[in-house]
Amino acid sequence: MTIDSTTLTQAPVAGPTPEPILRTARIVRLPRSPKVIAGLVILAVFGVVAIIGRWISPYSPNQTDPQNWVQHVLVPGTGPGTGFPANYYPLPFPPSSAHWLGTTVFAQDVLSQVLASTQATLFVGLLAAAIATCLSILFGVSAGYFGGGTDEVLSLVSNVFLAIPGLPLLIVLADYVPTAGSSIFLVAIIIAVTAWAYSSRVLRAQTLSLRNRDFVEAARVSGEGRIRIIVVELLPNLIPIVAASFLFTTLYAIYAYVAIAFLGLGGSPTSSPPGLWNWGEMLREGFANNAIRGGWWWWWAPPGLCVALLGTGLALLNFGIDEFINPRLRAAGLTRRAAKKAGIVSRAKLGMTPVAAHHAQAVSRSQAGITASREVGPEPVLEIRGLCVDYGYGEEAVHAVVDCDLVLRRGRVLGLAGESGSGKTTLALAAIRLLRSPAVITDGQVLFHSKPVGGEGPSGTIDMLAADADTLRAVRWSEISVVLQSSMNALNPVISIGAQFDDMLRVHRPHLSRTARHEMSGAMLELVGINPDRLRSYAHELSGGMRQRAMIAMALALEPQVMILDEPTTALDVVTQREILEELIGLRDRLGFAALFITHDLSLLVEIADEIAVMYAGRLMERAPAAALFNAPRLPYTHGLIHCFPPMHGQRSRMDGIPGSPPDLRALPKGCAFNPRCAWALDQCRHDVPHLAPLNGSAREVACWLHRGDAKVPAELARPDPVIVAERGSVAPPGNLARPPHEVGR
Amino acid sequence: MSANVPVLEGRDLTKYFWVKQGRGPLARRVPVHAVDRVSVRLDAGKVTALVGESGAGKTTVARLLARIIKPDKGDVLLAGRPAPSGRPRSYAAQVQMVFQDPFASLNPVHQVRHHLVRPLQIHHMANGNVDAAVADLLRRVALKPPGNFTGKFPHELSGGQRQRVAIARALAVRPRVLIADEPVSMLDVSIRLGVLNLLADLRDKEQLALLYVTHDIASARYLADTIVVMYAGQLVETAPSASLTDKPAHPYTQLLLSAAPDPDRAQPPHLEGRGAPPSLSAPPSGCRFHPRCPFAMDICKRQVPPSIALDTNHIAACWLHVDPAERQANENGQVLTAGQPLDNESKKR
Amino acid sequence: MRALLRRLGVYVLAAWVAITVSFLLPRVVPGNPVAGAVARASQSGNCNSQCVIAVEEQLGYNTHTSVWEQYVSYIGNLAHGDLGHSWSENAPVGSLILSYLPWTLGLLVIATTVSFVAGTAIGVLMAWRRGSWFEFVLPVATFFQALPYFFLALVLVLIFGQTGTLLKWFPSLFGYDIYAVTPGANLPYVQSVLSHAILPAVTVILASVAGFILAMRNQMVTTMDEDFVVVAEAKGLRARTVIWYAARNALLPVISNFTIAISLVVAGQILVEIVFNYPGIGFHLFDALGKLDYSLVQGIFVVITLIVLAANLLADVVYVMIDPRARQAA
Repeated sequence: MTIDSTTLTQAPVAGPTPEPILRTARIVRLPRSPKVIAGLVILAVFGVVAIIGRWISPYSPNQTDPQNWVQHVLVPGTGPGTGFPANYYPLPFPPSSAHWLGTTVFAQDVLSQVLASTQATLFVGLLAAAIATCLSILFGVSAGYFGGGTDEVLSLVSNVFLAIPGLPLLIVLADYVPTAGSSIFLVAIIIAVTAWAYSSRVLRAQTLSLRNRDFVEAARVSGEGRIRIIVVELLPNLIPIVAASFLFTTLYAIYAYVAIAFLGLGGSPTSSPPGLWNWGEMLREGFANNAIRGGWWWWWAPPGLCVALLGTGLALLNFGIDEFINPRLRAAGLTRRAAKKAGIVSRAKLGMTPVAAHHAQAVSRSQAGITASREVGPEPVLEIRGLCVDYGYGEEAVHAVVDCDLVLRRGRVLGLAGESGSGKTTLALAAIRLLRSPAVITDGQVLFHSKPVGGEGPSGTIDMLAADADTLRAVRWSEISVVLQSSMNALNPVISIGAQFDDMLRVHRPHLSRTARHEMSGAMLELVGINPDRLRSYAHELSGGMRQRAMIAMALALEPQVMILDEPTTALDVVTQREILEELIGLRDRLGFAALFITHDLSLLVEIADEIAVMYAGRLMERAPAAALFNAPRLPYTHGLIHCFPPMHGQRSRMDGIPGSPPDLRALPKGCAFNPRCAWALDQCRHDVPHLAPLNGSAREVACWLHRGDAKVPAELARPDPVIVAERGSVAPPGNLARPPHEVGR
Repeated sequence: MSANVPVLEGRDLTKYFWVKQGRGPLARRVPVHAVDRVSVRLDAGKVTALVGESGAGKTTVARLLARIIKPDKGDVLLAGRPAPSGRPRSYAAQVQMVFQDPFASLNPVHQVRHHLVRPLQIHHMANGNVDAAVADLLRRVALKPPGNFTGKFPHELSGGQRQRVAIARALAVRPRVLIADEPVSMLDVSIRLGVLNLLADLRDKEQLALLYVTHDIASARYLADTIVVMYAGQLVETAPSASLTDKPAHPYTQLLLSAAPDPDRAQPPHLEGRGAPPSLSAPPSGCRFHPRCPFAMDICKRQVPPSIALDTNHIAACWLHVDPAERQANENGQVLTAGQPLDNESKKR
Repeated sequence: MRALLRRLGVYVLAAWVAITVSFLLPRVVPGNPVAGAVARASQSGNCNSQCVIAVEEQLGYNTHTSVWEQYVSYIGNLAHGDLGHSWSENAPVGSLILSYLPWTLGLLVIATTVSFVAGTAIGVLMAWRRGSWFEFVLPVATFFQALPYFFLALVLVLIFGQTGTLLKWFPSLFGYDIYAVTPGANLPYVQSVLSHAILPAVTVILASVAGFILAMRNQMVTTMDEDFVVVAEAKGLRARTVIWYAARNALLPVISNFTIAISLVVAGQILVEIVFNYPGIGFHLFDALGKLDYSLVQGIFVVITLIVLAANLLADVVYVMIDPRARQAA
C-alpha cells in the first residue's frame, strides 16, 4: 500500500498558489531526504550481508554440536532413583559470546542461519520482483500505449489477477508444485505470477496519461516509430513508478516467500531435495519446536526482525520515490524548528498563513504612501501596507511579494494585473491569510475596516495578520469572500451544490432554519442565472461557466464587503467570460461590495476596473485609475504590456511585445527587476530598486527611475492623462485613440 | 505550383469520439460528434486561423490535418493528392505540428538537443553535421547563442523558450505546412507576440502554410490572412481576417466579436445569443447554433444551413444569407418530409 | 448499474480462473506430484494408506475419465455447492468449511473494520497536523507495515499470551477454552470466545492499520492542496467541516485500492490463525496442507477467493455510493 495508482496518475500540480517559479524548483532531491538515506543504509547492509554472509558466518548453518551447543536437562521422573533410565531433553543457549544469537534446540548456531538465510530471502525477493516488474511493464505499458482492444484484454487479465487473493493462490500453487520448495527460481516465478497485476494497473494508468501528453504526440508527428517512442520517450518518464513498484513488489515477494516457508512449503534444508535456509524456514522451525512456549525468543525473533527491518528499508525508499513523484507529499508542514528559526508566531495551522513575529515593522516606512493616496475616492475597506511574503525559510526563501501597499475602497473594483509569478495571487491570498506554508508573511500589515452590510459579523478595524483563528473564520466569506480561477476544483466534487451552500450558511448564519437556508441558496443561484433546481446537482454535472456562476453566487450569499476575484474568468470561453463579467458588475452596482480583481489580461481589466495596480516580480510597479493607466501609462512595463494585446480594429500592423522573458524570482536582476527588458533603462535602474511613489501630486503612483530626478521622460510615457467624464469606466479617449464604436450588424 | 492548389486541404472532415463518462472502475463510453463536415485549405505563405470556443473541434481539425487521428469521413489532400493512409514519414516530412502546452510538448527527461536531433535523423536532414543543423534550427527560432540551449533540459527553459524549441523541432524536417495548436495560449502575455511574430516571419521567409488554431480572435486577426470560425464541430464562417472582424456575417461570429475584450470599446457590449455550446453527444438538429441564435427561424431548426459566398472568399453558413424565396422553397421541400421530426424535436424540449 | 455488473463479471471471471488454475495445476504438473507429496507427508507421519488413496482419487489418478470430464463434473459439483469429501475429517468439505467460516469471518470483519476506521482516522489526523509530533507516527507505521502478520502474532504471544512466557494476560491458543467450556449459547462460552479473539484481532489490526494510515495520509496530503479545500477554509467553515471535505475525497482512492488491501489482510489472517491455532479456515488450510487433504485445500481456496471477491464488490458499491460521479455512470 505504499504506492497507489491515484497519486501516481495525478499530474503534480501546485496547489492554491500557481506560481510556476516554485513548480520548476522541483529538482531531483531524492538522496537528500533522511528517510531515503535510512532506507538506503538498511538495504545496503542487507545487501552486503547477503553477499559476504557465507564468509563472515562463524559456523555452517547446518553444523550441529549436540554435546556442547545445547544444555541437557534431565526429564523429571527419569534418571537415578526413579527406576527409569536417565533421559535428557535439549535446551538451547541464549545469546552468548560463543553464539551471538544463541543456539537452536537442534544445537545449531542461530547467527549462522540468519546470515545464510539473508542470501536466499533477498535473492527470491529481488528475482520475483524483477520478473513481476517485467511482466507489469509488458502488460501495463502496452495496454496503456496501444489502448483499444489490446487494452481491454490486457486490463481484464490484470484485473482478474488483481482480484484473486495472492497468498492463498500462492499456497495452492506451491503446494501443487512439490518441487518448488527446493528451487528458489520456481518459488520466485510463482510469487511473481501472483504479484505483477497491481504494478501493471499502476503502470497502465500512468502510460495512459503519458500517451496523451503532447511530447508523445510530438514524437509521433515527427515520424518516430512506435518502439522508439515507448523505449526512448515513455519509459524514462516511467522510471520512478517502475522503481516504486519494483520496491513494493520486492517487499511483497519477501513477505510471500517467508509466509510460504513458514507454512512449510518453501522447502526445508533437511528435506530432499534440500531447500535453502531462509527467514521463513527459521521462523517455522522455531514455531514448530515450541520456541514460543519455551521463551527462546533468540531463535525466531532475529529472522522476523530482519523481515521487518528490510521491509522498513524498502518502504522508506519507496516513500522517497512517492515524494519525488508527488511533490505535495514532500512540501512538509512548517516544523517547529523551522518556525522558530524564522521567528514565526503562529503555529503552522491549515488555513492560516504563518506570520513572522517581527511583522508590521515596515508599516511606518510605507505610511507616507498610504496618506498620499488616501485623498481620493470613498473610504478604504481593505488596507495592505508593506506586505512581504516568502516561500520557504531562511536561505532558500523566495521573495514572492515584496513591500506591497494596496488600498481597496468601498464599492470599487481594484484591478491587479501581472504575469504568472508576479505575485498577484500571493498578495491577495496572503492578505486574508489563506496561503499554506511554506508561504510565510514576513512583514507588513493588513487592516480590514469592517462595516457589515446586514449588521451581522464582526465590525470595526481588524488587523488580519494578528487575528486569531476564530476572528479570521468570522471575517472570511461573511465579509471577505474569494472566487478562484479554477471553478472546476473550487467546488467539492462529492457534495451537492446545495449542501455546500448549506455548510457555509450554517456556520455564518446559525439562526437560519433549514428551509430558510435552502430558500436563500436557491435565491442566490437565481441571482446569477442558474435554476434553483441545480442545488441538487454536483459540480461535475455543471458546465464550466455554471460552476463559476455557482461559486460567485456562493461568494455573494453573505453580502460580503470585499470580494477577491482571482482570475475568475480566465479558464472560460469569451462569451461566458463576458456574461459573468456583466453579472459581476451588475451585482456590484446592486450590492456595493468592493472587488479585488486579479488577472493577467490587462485589456479585460480596463473594461471593468476603477483603478489598476500592475505587479512585476513581486512588487507593485504602477497604480493609477484604469483609463489613465491604459491610455497614458507611466511605467515602461505597463506600456509594453498594453501593446501586447493586438487591437480588434483598424490597420493591422506589426507589434513587438516585450523582449526577453519574465524574471525568475530566485535569480532577480539587480536594481529594477524589469531593467533587462526595458528599452529606456538608465544606469541607475541597474543598481537601485525603485519604490512606488506618487507622481507629482496626481492620483497615480509609479516605481520607475525615469520619473524621478532629472531623467528625461520618453514621450510614450508622458502622454496626458485622459479626462475622466463619468465616475467610472467610461472615458473620453484623447486624440487618435478615439475610434468609432464597433458595430455589430448584418 | 499553381496558386489555386492548396498545399494542404481537408474536405468534409468528420470525426466521432467515444468518450468515457464517469470515473473509477465504473465508466462507460458515449459517442461525441466532435467535427462534422469541415473543409479547410492551407496555402503556401499564408496563415489560416481556426477560431472557436473550447470544444468547438478546432484541435480535432488540427489533429486530423496532421493525421494524428484518422477522420471517420472526408479526405485530407496534400498538394491536391489524397494523403497516404497511415502516417508515413513522407507525410511527417511535409506536415508538422506545434502543440499548445510547451510544458508538456517537450519530454522532461531529454535535453533540447535530443528533441531537435531526432527529427533530423529520422528524415536524414542533417547532411552529416548534426550539431551544425541543430545550431541552425535554434538560430531560426531566435534562440541565440545556440550553444546556450542545446544542453538544457526543458524545465530549465522559460515557457517562451520552450515553445520556440517546439517550433524548431517542427521546422527540422523543413515542412511545407505547420499546424500550430494554440501555440501562445499557455504563454505569458508579454512574450506571446514574440512567438506570433516568429510564426509570421516563417510564413513570409519560408513560404510555410500555417494553420493557427486559437480561441483569441484578436490574435487571429493580428496573425492570420484568413480566419475560419468553428462552432460545435461545424464551420460557420470563413473570410479574410480584416473582412471577418469588420463585417462578421454569422450571428455566432458577431457574438464572439462582441464578447472579446476590447479596451477601446466605449460602451459595454450587448451580447446576442447568450448561453453555452450544446452537448456534442446529442447536437441540435439543423444549424447547431439555432438554440442560441437571436435570429433563428424555423428552417434553422430543421436544415443544416448551406455555405453562402457573400463576397470573394467570404463564406458564411447561415440561412439569413439565403435569399428568402429560395429559403421558402427549401423549407417547403422539407416540410413534406420533416413534419414528424419537428414534432419529436419539440417534444424533447 | 451496468458498470457494477461489469465489475461483477470481472469477479466471476476471476473466480473461474482461480478455480480452474487450482484444479488444473496438479493434473498438468510434469512428474508425479502425488509421489513427491506422499513422500513428504509420510515422512511426517501425516499420510496413511487411506490418505494415498484419497489423494490419488482427488487428483484424478487411477480414474479412467479424461481431465475435461473431471473438470466438468468438478465445476458442476461446485455449482451445486458440493466441494468434495475430506478424507482426514471424513466429512463433506462444504459443511466443514461452513463450521470454520464464522471464526474467520468474525475475526476478519471486526479486525478489518476497526483497522480501516482507525487507520483512516489516524491518517487524516496526520495529514491535518503536519509538522507536529504526530509526524512520528510515520516511521512507526512504516515499520509496522513491514512486520509480517505471523511474526507480530508470535511477539504478542510471547509478551501477552498465556502460552508465552511474560505477562500471560490473554489466552493465545484455540478459539475458546476447549477444556473448560461447552460450545453453545452460554455465558462462559461467549466470554471464552471473546477473550480468545483478543490477541488474534489485535494482531490483525496492528499489522494492517499501518497500511491504511499511510495510504490515507498520502491521499489526504494530496487532497488538502486541492482548491476546494482552500475555498472551504476561505468560507470560514469549522475545522472539522474542512477536514471532512478533504477526507471524503481522499477516501475515494483508498477505497478503490481496497482490493489489494483486503487480499493482504486475508493472507495475513490465515497465518495469524495458524499461530493461534484459531479454528478458522486459515488454520484448517494449514492443517489440510499437512495432511494432503486436497479436497479441503481446494475447497478452502475457493471460499477464500469468494470472500475476497465479495469484499471487492462491497468496496465497489461503497465507492459508487460516496462518489456522485461514479453514481451517475453506474
